[in-house]
Amino acid sequence: MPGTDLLGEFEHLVLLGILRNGEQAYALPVRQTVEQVTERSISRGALYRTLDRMETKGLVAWSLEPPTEARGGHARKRYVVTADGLQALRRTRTVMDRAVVGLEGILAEGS
Amino acid sequence: MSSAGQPPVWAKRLLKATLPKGPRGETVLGDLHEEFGDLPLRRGPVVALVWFVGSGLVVSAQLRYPARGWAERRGNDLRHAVRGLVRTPAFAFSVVGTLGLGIGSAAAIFSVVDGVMLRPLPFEEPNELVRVWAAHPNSGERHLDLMYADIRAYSDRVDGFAGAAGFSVAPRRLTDGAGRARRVTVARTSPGLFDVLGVTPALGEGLVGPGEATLLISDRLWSTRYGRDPNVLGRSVRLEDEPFTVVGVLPKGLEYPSDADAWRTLSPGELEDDDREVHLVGRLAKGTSLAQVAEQVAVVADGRASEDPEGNQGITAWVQPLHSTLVRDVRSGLLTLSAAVFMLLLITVANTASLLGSRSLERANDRAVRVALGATRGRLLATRVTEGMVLAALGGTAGLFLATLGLKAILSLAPPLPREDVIGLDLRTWLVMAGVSTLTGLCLGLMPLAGRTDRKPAAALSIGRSTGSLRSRRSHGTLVSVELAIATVLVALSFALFSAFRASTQHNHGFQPTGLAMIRLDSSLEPEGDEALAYIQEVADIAEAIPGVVSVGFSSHEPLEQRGFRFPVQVGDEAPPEGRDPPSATFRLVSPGFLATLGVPLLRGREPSMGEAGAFGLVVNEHFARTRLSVEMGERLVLPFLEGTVVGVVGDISPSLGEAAEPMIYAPSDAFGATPGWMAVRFTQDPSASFALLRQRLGEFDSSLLLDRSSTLDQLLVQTVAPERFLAALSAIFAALALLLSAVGVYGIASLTVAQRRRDISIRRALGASAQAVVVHVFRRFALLVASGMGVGVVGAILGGRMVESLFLGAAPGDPIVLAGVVMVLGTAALTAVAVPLTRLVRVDPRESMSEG
Repeated sequence: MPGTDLLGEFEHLVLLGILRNGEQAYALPVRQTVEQVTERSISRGALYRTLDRMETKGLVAWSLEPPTEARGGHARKRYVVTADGLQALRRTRTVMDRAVVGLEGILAEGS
Repeated sequence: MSSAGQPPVWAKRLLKATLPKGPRGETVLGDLHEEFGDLPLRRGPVVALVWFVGSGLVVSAQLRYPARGWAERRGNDLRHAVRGLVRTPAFAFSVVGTLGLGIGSAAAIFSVVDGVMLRPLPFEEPNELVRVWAAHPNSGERHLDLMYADIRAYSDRVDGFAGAAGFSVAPRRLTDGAGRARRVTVARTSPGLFDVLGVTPALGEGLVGPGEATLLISDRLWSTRYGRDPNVLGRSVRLEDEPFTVVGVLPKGLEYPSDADAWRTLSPGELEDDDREVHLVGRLAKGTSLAQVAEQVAVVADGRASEDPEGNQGITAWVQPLHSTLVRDVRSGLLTLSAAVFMLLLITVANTASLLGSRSLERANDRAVRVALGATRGRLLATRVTEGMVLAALGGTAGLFLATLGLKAILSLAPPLPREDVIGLDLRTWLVMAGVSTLTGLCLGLMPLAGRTDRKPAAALSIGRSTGSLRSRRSHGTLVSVELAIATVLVALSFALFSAFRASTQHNHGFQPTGLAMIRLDSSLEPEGDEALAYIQEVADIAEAIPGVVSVGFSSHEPLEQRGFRFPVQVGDEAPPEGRDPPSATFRLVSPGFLATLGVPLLRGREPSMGEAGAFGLVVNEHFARTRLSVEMGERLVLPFLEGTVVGVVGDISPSLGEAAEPMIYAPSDAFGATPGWMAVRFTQDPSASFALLRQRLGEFDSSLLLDRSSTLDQLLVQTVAPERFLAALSAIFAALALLLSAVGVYGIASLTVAQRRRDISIRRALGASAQAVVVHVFRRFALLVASGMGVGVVGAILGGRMVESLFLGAAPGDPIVLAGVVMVLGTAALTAVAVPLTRLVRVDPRESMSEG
């Protein structure tokens, strides 16, 4: 039931990465964004598989852009977050916010 | 390599082929391209290329197997298979046990065949080594040894030999420095034998020139006599009375000739001997074929016949690869056992197939559920193959355990085998077993799947539906017939080999072996003349004083030994007819009473004796009297060194089945003034207790007597029939296993059929057929399968039997009574195995056919 499921951690990060890259939300910039935010290396396969899975769930959509020489004559996908995707992001955030109420002191950095 | 920004075309093609098709793979390839960008400039072209191909392949694998990794899925298959087997322990135990028996017996027999027949000999370039044999076409004898003079003739004149050397083997008394004596087998060799073989001593050095008093000892003698003491080199020993110095120890595993304990060179004088007892070994020169050397050897043999007509008349020569020479006695036995074990393996495979067939049927619904849930054919296949491999691995492990036990049993049961010390479960056997197990596992995994995955899940899931297709019924029927055909052949073969064994044990040797003992009078005192007569009299008195001893006699040979002094014989004054070989006979010295002690019947006249005026009273055997010369009593016989008159004719002695009696002349031993080598002692009853006492008394009388070769005749005869007993026992074990396994297999298939056809049968019953009619219907079908299988088996047994008959004396494979017996036993076992599950049919409820389906 996609309408009520919470996002997985990696799905969450990838959706945010797509939003952050706006019109430039191709796989490579999204991966770089997630790597910067998490400060760790992200496997290409994991990213592509997650994008495929979220497409199946209806959380993201893509459009194909024409091939360029820099890409060896291969097309590329530009991703957008769907309405369902946005809703899932909001729901996950709300749940997480609720979950940390009263724990701010413990969770504050340096405590 | 690659220009900046562009990976090489082949790399792009490779990744394109491995990535998913369509935009999914296309865009990933584009991304990789983009990332590749200036990488060659920054990191170098090689690193860039490795990165491109490596990253692309990793992404391909991750995208192609999206859910889990390959290893993870194999792990899941493994867990699934193990859980499934744990849930059905009876099934797992049956399959593992059956496979273990098949693989284990195959491995045990393979290790024997491998050690004896397949492994190269431990010589340099062993395939170049041949043995030269003399043959006597007129008498049909093809395996005669050569004469000493032949060594030089063949070494010098056969151009196709890079080298050749000869040796002879004889037992000798070896006495060490401490005075301890034992009888060992000594090989006397011409110079250069070890160069021809390509063998250097493991310790010390080789033999020096001819006639030098140096000795090489075998690894076996070094271990048993000297405890592998390296200081053995330089020790003085005596062979009979001659002193020798041990100069070297030969390497372990030098099994040619298998029984030699020590080696010395032939003296120049010994090379002049004219005995025919030389083994001649040659090494083929590079680029020379066996056929070329065979021609040259035949030419030399012709030359020898004209140079030395007396010793070489009618003699030809031929060559045989050394390896074939060594294994010729055991080859047919081992090949027969290999065939038997292969048949047993086939039965185990057929049996396992039927067990898996029933398992497959039971799990049809489980499979259908998985298909309905989206499992692909590939996934089902992977699961089944994993299960097959698990079963095969367990079966292989059980087989290894059984092979270890089986090999020990085989070697303890087996007669002395050539190259026995290299027989063992080693890496080669392990690899063969692993190969057989893997292949079996794959077959097991793939077999039950045929014609089943395409079943529509809905059909399989519907309740009460008949689960057996016509095709599967036919294949099960074939399995029944095949198993019974093989089992029939195997059981008939076993009976044939057993009849060969029985024939050899019941063989009439021409004397009474029971209650008889032969004692080798191997004394270093070596009395001669009157002293010898006194010595023998003393020994005879000691023996006769032992309770239970009936009589004693002395002889130059023991009765089972056919070899002896063989001389040309002239009857009367007549020279042999022109163009014919002079007749010859084996010559033996016997004391008065020896032949009577043995129980050889005296057919005419009396025992050999000194006649009047020193003339010899000779006794001939029946074979000599009847077939050779039509000798009459009173006829004069002229041998090269004595003359005598025939005073008696005794029965023939045949050492073993198939070994015809030789023409034999017995002369009185007391005329020669030396101790005859053997004493025969006849006991009233079981000789074992009295025999031990006799040995003790003789030891007290002459402490130098070596009594280790003395034994009762029954013990000796047990050794002579050891090969037949070995074959009979092993083939009986295989036949019993075949009988058991095929009965279990038929039972399994009958049970499966009953389970498959419950619904058909309930319909028949609902339509009015009686339970009895249904049972008869199914039973008839099985009886036909059993009969057809056994029919094929009987034909196979008759055809295979002809081969066995030609290989083993006394085997009676085509005996109709034996075949009828085999058919009765197997048929009863098979039909009982069918009948038991059929009784379940009687209880089939006709209402089952009404159930939904």
